[in-house]
Amino acid sequence: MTNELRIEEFIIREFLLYILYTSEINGGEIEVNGEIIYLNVLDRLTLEGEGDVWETDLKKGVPSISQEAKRAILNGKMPSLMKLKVQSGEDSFFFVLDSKTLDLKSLKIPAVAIKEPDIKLEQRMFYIETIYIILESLFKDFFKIRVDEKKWESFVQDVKKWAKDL
Amino acid sequence: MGFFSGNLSLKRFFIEEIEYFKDKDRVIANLNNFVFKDIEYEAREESIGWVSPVKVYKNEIEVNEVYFGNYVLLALRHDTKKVSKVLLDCKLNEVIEKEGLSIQNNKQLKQLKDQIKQELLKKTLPNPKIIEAVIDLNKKTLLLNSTSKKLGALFLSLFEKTFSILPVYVDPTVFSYISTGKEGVGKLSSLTETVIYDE
Repeated sequence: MTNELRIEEFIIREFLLYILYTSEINGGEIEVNGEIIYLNVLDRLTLEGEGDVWETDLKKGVPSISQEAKRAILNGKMPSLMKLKVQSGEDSFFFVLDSKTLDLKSLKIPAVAIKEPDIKLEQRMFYIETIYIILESLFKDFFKIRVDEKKWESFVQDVKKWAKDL
Repeated sequence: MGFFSGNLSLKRFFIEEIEYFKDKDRVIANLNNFVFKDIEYEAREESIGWVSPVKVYKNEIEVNEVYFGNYVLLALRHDTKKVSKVLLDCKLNEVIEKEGLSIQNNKQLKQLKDQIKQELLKKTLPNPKIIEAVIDLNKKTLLLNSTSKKLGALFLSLFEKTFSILPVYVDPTVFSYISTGKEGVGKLSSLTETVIYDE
């Protein structure tokens, strides 16, 4: 599918940083395919650095605005695992993203009251697909900034400014 | 099961040969070729096979238990039995003492141990694990409800043996390809890492 090209894990960590920062700006409001959704990083966030074991695990409180998370970012650490809440209209989704795999862990989707198996499965699969669409859309937005040197530099400066605001 | 209720932990795969799964009779026949065989009363340590996603105790899978509209539900059952080493040693010593056996060499000891192990295995209840997956016939995807590497490998191995098809795992590279195309992957793979420091 992609021949010999590989995406290194740091790209996905930078993507998670993009999600973390986006969730902090404008109350986490973003547009996906014309729909407004809200992103929130919840109380599970791991930040890692390179080299020796550099890991900060934040499991209580709201990590994205915690001083410890911001300090870790200013010390060169990047998010490697985060629990996210996505609010789309009345629907709430919760899941954990890991920079190593991008698998959807502990995914909680809105309850489906319908008992008919075909329709119930279809509705639940629609919710799962919604999350993949949102993630792919977010990645496209990240990509546009990441591959543009000036935009990325500006983004990094914005992150620094936000992180310094302890 | 997780695809009908409860939380999920998902690995995503692509299936190029999706047309294969539209042939319901062939799929069901192949699932039944590798159906799960119960080892509850047998001296076996492991059994792996497909079960009905809605009735995991059944030993024959039917179309209406697998096909739900555009989705194909799969359930793999993996049972394992383990005899405690301590129990095995206890029983071994008990038999040697009770029957006044004189063990001459290691080969004899091993034979006796194996024999006792087989007896104990028959009495041991299996530890069952169910791994579920759903194939979306429209999107050509397979979602595996397990992020465990070991269980994922077991599932893929049986899947390949059953259908002679190996799904492509959507890892970060494939995810990037889906989101940004081949050119996008090319650009991203040439970038160098950003390290943010507060100077």
